[in-house]
Amino acid sequence: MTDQEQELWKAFQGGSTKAFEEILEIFYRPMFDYGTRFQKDPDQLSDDIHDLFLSLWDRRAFLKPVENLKLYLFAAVRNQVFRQKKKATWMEELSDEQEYEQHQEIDYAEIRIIHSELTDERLSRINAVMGKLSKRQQEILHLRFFENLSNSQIAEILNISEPATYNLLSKSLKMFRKYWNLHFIVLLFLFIVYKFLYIN
Amino acid sequence: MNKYDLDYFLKNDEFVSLVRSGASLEGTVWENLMNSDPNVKSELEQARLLILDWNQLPSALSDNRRTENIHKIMTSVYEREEAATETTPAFRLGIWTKVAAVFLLAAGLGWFWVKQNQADYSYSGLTANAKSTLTEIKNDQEKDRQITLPDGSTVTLSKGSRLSYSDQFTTDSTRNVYLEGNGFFHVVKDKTHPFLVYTNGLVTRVVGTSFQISSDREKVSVVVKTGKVAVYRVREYTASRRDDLLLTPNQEAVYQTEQNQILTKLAENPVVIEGEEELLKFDYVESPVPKIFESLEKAYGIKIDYDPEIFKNCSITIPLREEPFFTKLNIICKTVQAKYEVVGNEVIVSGKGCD
Repeated sequence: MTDQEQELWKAFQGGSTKAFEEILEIFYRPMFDYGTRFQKDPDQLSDDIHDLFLSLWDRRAFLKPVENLKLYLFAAVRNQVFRQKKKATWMEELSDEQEYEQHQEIDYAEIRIIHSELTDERLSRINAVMGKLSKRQQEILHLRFFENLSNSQIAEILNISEPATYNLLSKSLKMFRKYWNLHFIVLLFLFIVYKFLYIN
Repeated sequence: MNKYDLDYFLKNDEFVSLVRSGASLEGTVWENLMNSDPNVKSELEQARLLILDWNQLPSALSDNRRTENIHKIMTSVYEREEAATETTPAFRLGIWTKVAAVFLLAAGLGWFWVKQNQADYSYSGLTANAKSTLTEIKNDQEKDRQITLPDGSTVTLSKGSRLSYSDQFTTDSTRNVYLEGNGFFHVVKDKTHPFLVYTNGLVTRVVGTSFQISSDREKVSVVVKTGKVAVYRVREYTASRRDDLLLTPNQEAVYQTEQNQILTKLAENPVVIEGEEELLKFDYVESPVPKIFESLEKAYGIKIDYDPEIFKNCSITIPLREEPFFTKLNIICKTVQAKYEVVGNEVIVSGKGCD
């Protein structure tokens, strides 16, 4: 953790609203992006992160010093989302989240590929393939490649052992690779059809 | 399948870092690897592109929404801070302080309620509620004072202790005595008139024996010297319940006033039972340990739990005249490399035995 982050955390614990806002400025987006990997509803995710930060503010005097602020906040957002989900399933048998997810998957997998600009092609492809994976797999790949965290750091956030992390990563990559190659062929085909139609 | 596939590169911390840093692969082990096999080259190239692309994935959060969300959090924080400074300092108590306050209040009310409903079993309470007129004897002297009761029983009162008994002491169905402090009782035997000592919440009931009662506000201790003594809690005795606790010599009952609880244990300094002194009046020469344990058990009336099989080959020479019980036990155990522990009313001896 950088000295600047250390200072920020200390100031925040001392009650500085300015330091707190700076922490938000730095970490809000990475936390949100990470959160989308297991909470697909952006409104619910916003609420969860809101609750998390207010709880951190209330408990600031009792919080332990943290070694790595990013890892700490990532683990925190993860816990918050899962706590909320648990609460929600207690309250209503059928969560509308599942419907939302199904809808989202179609959005990723089909629509966006076809309508994407050629320059965005590879990015869409990643998104499309990601959409096919399980939440857990998406989560670990996000931490690995979007956040560039090491295996040991990922293990810390997910609260599992390093070998378990490595296994999960292997499995996720295997799935990713499967869909990746499949999409490559489909896309090539679509691209040719598209070009063909366009030219004509 | 080739070992150097897409996964291999994506899982490798060094490869990922190098690619993300934007540095060239030239002159690295990766370049050598890439040139060794065209299949590896294609996998590595795919991995490299993926890592670079991944980094550019658009955020799921629009700038507007991000600003709005952060603003919302900060607004809530400011509101909380204002609310905290607005309240007067006297009521700015932390949640735990509030919890503690409520808890204390409840505990206080509970205590008051219990006190209201609880009969007063203290010396003053018991004597005030006695049916007949009482005679009180108090020891104001510096030394112990021995008094003789109408039935001939004697009580040795410690300094500052006092005792009351009824005017109809000899004619009542039971010989009732109220004690505050410490007293050693030697009770004259009279089976038809049980002798009862009331000390705080504890009743000590005997027919004819000697025993010591020591008491203060918190507890009452009863140690039996000779004969048998039963102890009860006052509440249960008055309800004429018979779940009494029988004490034999060298056992001690400790009654805790606050908890209204009786525990029994071995007396701290067991003494030889009257009439059994002869057992320890000679030196044991090359005697088997089980035999010595038997004598001790009988002389002190304390159960010693041990395995006779283990100790049957252990023979020791030991004088058992003067030393206190536990010193004797210690000497025996050290000689045969055994251990003893006191569990409740008994002593448990364990060891490996002798060859």
